[in-house]
Amino acid sequence: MSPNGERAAARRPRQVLPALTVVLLCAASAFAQTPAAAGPGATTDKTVPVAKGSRLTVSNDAGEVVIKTWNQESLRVRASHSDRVSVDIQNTASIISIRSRSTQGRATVDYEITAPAWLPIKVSGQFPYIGVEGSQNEVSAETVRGDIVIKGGSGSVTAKSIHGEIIIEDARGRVSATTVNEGIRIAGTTGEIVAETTNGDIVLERIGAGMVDVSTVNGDVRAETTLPAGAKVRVETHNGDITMIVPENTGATFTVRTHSGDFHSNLPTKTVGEPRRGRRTIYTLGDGGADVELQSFGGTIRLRRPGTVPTPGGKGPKDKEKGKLEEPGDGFGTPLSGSEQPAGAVKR
Amino acid sequence: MNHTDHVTDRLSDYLDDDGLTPEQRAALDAHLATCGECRGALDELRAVVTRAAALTDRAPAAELWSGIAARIEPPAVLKMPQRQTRRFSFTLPQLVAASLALMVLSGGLVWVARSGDPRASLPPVVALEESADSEPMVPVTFADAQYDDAVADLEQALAKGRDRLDPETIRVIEASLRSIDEAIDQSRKALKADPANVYLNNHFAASRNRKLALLRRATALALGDGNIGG
Repeated sequence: MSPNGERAAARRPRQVLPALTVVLLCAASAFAQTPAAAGPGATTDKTVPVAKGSRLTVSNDAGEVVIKTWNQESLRVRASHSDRVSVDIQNTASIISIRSRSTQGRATVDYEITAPAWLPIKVSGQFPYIGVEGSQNEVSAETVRGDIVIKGGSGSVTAKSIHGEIIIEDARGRVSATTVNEGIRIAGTTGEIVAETTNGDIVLERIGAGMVDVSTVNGDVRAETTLPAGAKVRVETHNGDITMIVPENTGATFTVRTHSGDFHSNLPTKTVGEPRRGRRTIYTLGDGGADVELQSFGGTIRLRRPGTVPTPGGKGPKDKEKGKLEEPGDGFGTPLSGSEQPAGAVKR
Repeated sequence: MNHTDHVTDRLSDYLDDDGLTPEQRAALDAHLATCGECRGALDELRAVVTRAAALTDRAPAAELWSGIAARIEPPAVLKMPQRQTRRFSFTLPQLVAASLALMVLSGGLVWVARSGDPRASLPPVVALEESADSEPMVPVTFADAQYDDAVADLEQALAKGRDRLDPETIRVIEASLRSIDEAIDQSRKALKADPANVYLNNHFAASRNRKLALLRRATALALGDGNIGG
């Protein structure tokens, strides 16, 4: 070997080592990133038989849980998740339990579950969006930071969130919706309805309820409901308006309380006693059979015929502007023009 | 006297099932089935009885005297509704209100007798005055040690578990608690101007209960007791 050749051979390891190091680092980096990448990851698709009388519980830390129903006596679970997450399905005679496990960090799984319509359902988690559609039995959905949409349900239908919007449609039975910082919309529902939020609006549409109890602190309430004789309805807000829409042939007694707000009605209500701001005032409609309490500390309370209130459009309960009304009068009992009925002479 | 006066005069008897003939009771049942106002009055009577039954005996506070002194001055004497001038009978709410006043007064007098004159450091006591709209009045005390203790305990527990909550969740809970505190504060100010207002009393109490409920829910969440929503 020539001296030049020896020098070249001596240089070769010094050139190869850095190159090898770079290649190894790149490979290691790529290997480390693969499991965390959103990518296709892993999927689970499993169908299990469902015993009569069983119930379903799903626990998911984050992601989506969408449950639909079918006419088969089995339950199909399709889940998308990363390779580090596994889906655990326990099936006993009385309960089907689905939960996700992660070897590292938070388990984020998107579930699409198809279940028999009769199967009672319970879903919980910290961050999941929860959607249940078509259930004909009890539904319970609890999340901290996610929206909940339940279409259907019977018996006990419960939705709880902290900062998620809640929508419940076409439920029957005892319906309860609780959130803190978002709105609630309940539609096409009959039975007992309880809804509570702190910073959010509440919208009730096409309600045929025997008992309604809804309250918010910073939000409006819009309630469109029929009032069968004996129904009991309580609507309360601190810092918002209340708009109650009932058919003109309704029989109801409205007990209205407000501290600094106004009251307006375009229904043929009759005042019992003398209306006074800051005091209870009673109005009757028809035979007065249903019992309705409307309370707003500082907002306007309105009783309306159907068709005289703009339908809220847009994104739902939060979309206040489209439902805003131009009042022909400006005060509690101020004689009103147009179709408004004066609430009566008021002592201030 | 309108037609409802005849009925409301008998509601206490009706509620107590005392002194009514079966025929009178049946007539009242029939009337109540169609008259929302009288039904409302009956519900309120029931509420008063329930609240009265739920009252707990409390030792008189050391600062009672100014309230008692204010009460025995002419303007704070219990107002009786006009009906009382016509007949010498008392409705259940009036009797409850009177008994409450008597309890407070006698407790305060005993304390004064045993401890000397504490007039120097007395907060006001809400006057037990029937509201103008004849609804039963729920006396409210702004300084409620049990409530304050409960709030303090929950706030302390929440602070301990704060790290377990998502920062956005903490922000939302704190914003909501501020909203409720504003509602409580506004109700309190309104009550100071109109202490006998039943709606304001109930609204104030409901707002405070709402704060407790949210604190409990947030604390349960922070402490991870397995109940997501509390």
